[in-house]
Amino acid sequence: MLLGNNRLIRRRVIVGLLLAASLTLLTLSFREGNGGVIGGIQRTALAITAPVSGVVHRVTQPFVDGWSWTTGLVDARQENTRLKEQLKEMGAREVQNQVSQDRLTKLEELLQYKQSNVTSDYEQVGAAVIGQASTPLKQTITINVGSGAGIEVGDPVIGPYKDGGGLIGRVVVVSGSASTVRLITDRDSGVTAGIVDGSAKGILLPSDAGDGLLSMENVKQEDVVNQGDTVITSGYDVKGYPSLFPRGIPVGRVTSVSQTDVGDPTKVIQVTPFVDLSDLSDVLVVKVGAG
Amino acid sequence: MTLVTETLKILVAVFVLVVLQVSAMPQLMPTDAAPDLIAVLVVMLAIRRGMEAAALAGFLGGVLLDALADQHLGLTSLLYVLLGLLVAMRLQPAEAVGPLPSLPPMLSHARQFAWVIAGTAAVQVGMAVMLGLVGEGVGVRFELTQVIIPTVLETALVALALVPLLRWVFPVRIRIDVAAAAPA
Repeated sequence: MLLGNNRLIRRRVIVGLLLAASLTLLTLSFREGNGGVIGGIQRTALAITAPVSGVVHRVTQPFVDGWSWTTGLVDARQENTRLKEQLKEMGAREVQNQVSQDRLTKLEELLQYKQSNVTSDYEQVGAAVIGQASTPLKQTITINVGSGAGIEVGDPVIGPYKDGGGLIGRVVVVSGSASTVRLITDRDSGVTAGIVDGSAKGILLPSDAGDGLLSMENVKQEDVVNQGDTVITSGYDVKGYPSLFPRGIPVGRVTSVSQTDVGDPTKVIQVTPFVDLSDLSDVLVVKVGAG
Repeated sequence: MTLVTETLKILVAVFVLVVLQVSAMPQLMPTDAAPDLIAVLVVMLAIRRGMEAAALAGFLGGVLLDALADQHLGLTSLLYVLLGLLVAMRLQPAEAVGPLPSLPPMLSHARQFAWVIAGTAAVQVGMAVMLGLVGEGVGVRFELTQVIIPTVLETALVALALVPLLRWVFPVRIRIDVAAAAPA
């Protein structure tokens, strides 16, 4: 009976300690943010999981590409007969070629961005995406470069799109061989930005609807903004929000301009990011710290 | 099976499931949400091994997930530890009575599956409430349609394969406290 009681006590102590540890970590994370002990734990977790995550990501990628390819076929109903014939002829090599071609296109887009003058003052490093946040509330990805490649917290990250590259987020946690990137659609993200011709500036925040869109806020009523205008990083502070990004990185396109109440000195603009944040495989990190 | 071997098995299971949850599942699932593999592990351990094992797995899995998602560290682990604690207390109320064999609850496979789904839903609702309490809530409709329902459905889908696998990895075992059970 004594041993039974001891087991009961041990059980309660273990569970109590784990609960206390969780509460302590929670308190520390609110007090310290990503610094101190919390930052250390985050870097350690990243360092431990990154190598395996990279392998798992590479293993699952062909399935994802295969699935995307298959659903693409289903969508093209009007070409069903022709595609069926093609499908019979296509073997694994053709599918792989298609996947490689898609990736090559994205890499060429990133190269196009790298060769542009937007952030040519800074060194830029290519990286592969090896993980992403498991909840729609936290929009983060994990990339396979870290402090070993000179990456620092705060470095902007660029994703591919058809006319070059577009901002997708910034590095928030760095370990030796991997980094966590907070996407611009994360609730904690904020980007000082403006219209490319300088006609307006504001702060880009994730849309409340959580639909992958951005809202450009604090734009003056008198500023001229039209649907289709290109939005770029402003490179300077707006209303106390320090700019973390060099000026001129393309972010997205204006899709609508809201009609606000009379007397409201500002208006809200909806912006669609250039880069498809749900389909990221290769990115470019701009080493602002090393610039 | 020694305590060390058992602990190592739990650590490996946590690590593998966290990596799968973060690296593979977001790619393979059709929505932005991903199945909660750690919740499945915690509930199954609470059923098969009791509250210490479930709480340990929940704590470690939660810390890893929070760290990798740049979430407030401790938030997810707190929910998982509570999940393990509550499921074990509900299903094994008599386990701490004395030295006699501590039998795992005789649950049918369907009931184990139901507990997994209920546990996942509880964690998701708990997370939404916690985020609301710390001022980071995003609205009931978004939580329901974009987070809770997709996560629970996807977890149910994955649990069809994962629950039998975990039953195999953590088979039923009976521990008899021989010294205490022996007559004086």
